[in-house]
Amino acid sequence: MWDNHGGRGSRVSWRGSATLCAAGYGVLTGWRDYRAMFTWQSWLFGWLARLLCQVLFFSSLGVLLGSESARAYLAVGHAAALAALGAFGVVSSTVGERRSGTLAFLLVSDSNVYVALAARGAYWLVDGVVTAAIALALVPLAVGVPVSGAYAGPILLLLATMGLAAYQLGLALATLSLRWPEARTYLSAGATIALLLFAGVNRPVADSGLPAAVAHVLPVTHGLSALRGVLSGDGLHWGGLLAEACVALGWGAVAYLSLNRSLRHAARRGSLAVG
Amino acid sequence: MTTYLSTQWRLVASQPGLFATLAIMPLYSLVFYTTLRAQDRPDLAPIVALTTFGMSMWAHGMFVASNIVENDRREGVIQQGLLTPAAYQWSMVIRIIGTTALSLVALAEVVVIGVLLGFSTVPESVTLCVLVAMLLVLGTAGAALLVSALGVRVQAIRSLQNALTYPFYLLGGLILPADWLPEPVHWLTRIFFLSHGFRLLQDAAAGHVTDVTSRLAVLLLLVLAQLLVGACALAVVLRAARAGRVPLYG
Amino acid sequence: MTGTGGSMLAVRGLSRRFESRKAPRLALDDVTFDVARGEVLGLLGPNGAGKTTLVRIITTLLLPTSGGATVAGHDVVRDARAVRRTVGLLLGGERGLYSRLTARQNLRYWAALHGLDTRTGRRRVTELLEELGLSDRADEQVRTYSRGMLQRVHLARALLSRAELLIMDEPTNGMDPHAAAAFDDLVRRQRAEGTTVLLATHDMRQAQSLCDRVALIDGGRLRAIGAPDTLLTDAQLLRTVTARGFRAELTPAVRAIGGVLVQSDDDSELVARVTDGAALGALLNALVTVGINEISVTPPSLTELYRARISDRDFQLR
Repeated sequence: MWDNHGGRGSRVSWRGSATLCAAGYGVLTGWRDYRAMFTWQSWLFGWLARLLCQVLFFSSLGVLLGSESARAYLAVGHAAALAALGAFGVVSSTVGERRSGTLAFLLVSDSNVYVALAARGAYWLVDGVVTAAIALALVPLAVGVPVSGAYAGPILLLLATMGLAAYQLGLALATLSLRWPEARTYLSAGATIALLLFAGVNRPVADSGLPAAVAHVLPVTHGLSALRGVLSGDGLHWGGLLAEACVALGWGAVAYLSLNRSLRHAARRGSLAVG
Repeated sequence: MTTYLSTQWRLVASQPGLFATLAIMPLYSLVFYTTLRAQDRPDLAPIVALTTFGMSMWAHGMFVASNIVENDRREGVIQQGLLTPAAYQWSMVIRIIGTTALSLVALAEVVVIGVLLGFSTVPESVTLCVLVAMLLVLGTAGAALLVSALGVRVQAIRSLQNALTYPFYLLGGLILPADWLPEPVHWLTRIFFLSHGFRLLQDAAAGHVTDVTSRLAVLLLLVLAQLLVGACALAVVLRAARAGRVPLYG
Repeated sequence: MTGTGGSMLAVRGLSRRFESRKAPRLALDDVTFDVARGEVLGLLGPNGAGKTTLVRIITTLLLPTSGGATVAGHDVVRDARAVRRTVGLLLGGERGLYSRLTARQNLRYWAALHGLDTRTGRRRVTELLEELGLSDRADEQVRTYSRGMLQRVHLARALLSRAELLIMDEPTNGMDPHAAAAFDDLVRRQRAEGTTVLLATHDMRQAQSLCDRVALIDGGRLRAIGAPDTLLTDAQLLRTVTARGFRAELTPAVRAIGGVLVQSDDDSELVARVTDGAALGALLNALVTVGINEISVTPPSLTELYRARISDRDFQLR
């Protein structure tokens, strides 16, 4: 934090309130973008309906398998995974910063790029957690394995943590999508498939080897395991929650460094065209 | 005509992002195959291979339609295109059908991924499977034309494209037969080319198809109807745009 | 590297090369100049001349390949953060703002990103909206704004942190003449308050009316720098004489005057260039003698200087 501003006359000092204010306005600008994307009708009957169909679709694999337990496993896994998949929306939306020409000003402002972009895309995090919570309430019910409302507190906590971890991974990937906008679809889809393959969404997490190692550093793995524990009546496994929070912190650090350092350096080297 | 077609191809090839779904969606077969392995059900591999092909084909069609419209709108090509009587519509039709047709590659991709993972995914009746898949791709292109028309009309094409994937995977019976769906939507599945064709595709892959000719004829009719509806919708919307009833600016 | 005396911007031997397997490009080649505090320097040159590269290096968005620059004594490579707090950037065009936010919301957001706390930011935004004549529509989404209004919002953003050096890249690009003139007035006001301005532009009228000095850049090299009048004098550009009511039979007599180059002549108008004062006097005398009184003498302009010094690559006919 500095207090030696070079600007003529004002000597503006950097304070926490400026960061908070930037974050607040960032959230507001993002919210406006989200509002421009959807009306309440298109959100409800387009976006949410599509996500619920997605969970139903993957749950129907359980019917094909002829296994009730597989059906329930898939329904819960895919519903909870929406928290992460929603958060990955930030990989694509951040590209808009470059398209709209605001990235150059963001870099010139010497602000904290991580804070600015994390705030701008925060609606994806909220979207993911909300849609996952709705899907968890509705889809297992539809496939005959209802989730008790008594677990709402721990479930929301776990979904929020999973969403946060995935959001941090999304922000780290957003550094790449800002550099190579054409790659944004590949990046978010790649992350989605990795989650479905390794994080215990479709099948239990591998016990050993590379798949197990990958699973442990991926968002969702620990949180989903804890969530399954909650649903089976074992109560909240704090270790799982903590592990998921650690994954969020880890990816948050990667995102922080990549957005505040790599991105700026890439721009200055001339390998990222801004403005 | 050659120049016209090669220009259309260059327009498509200059947007590598248009092929993103074809590179990504077949990877969903890994998710399905590993689930089958965990559940010890390798016998279902041919079904999930086709499921992934169906997802890839449909998602690619929707993506292509929205992407082409969005790009043309952003680059101001739509309003320029309207100055060329009828040619712009044909440009859209050729680009959308041509690019959607590439999704046939996904069929080979998912079969090969399955074989590489040790599953028996090669269809029993390869010729019939390819024929049905080709018809399905054409039908999907027809649906994509319809979506492109909606895209010119409503502007929020991205949200629309996103919403048009999984509901149609369910309606098309990509995993479970469409009659697993609730009774009120059964009539829709009967007139939807994908529901009809996918059942035929799955039967052809399993090697026990009855009434091939009549089922193919029905599929052909449904596919042609879908193409016609798509092309007509696009023509109507572009005519409305020319008359100034559709805003072309963001 | 340190700044030079009273200069706000010191550029020394600045080069930037863009590596590419197909066609590596030297965008800036050994550029050196200074901008004094409170001065307005115009950067003139064709597209691709290196103006934007120079602007990006000075604003710390791009690293130089060699050479360097300082802003208020801060090195653009080593003290990038200090430089960012000293410069305000304004780019032409419609991009660079959040179109669905109002001008006030945009500016408050950017104020926060520039490190102004909430209260200071709010006050500064209100001041600038008032100063730039945006108060009436400050709470409307900027996507409803005209190009001229958008540029005023851009200018307001560049002024948020009371930048000492204002860098503008094609600020009036696409503006109608009224909006461009109003924008020039705003820049003059900033200059009167002591702000140093670096103005990259294609608009010769704007450069001539706003700039204390201009720098001509072409092919990445600085071709000339100086006050417009000095440059025009040094370039020995010719004055143009236009005479209405001219008669073609007088042409041989005019051509006979030393130092007069006839550009066009017909039954109604003569356009001729004169090399010096003596030639001008002789021509005027000859015209008045035959009863032609509707005569105008136009001094050379920056446009002519530009056309004389900068090669025309884009429109060369082969």
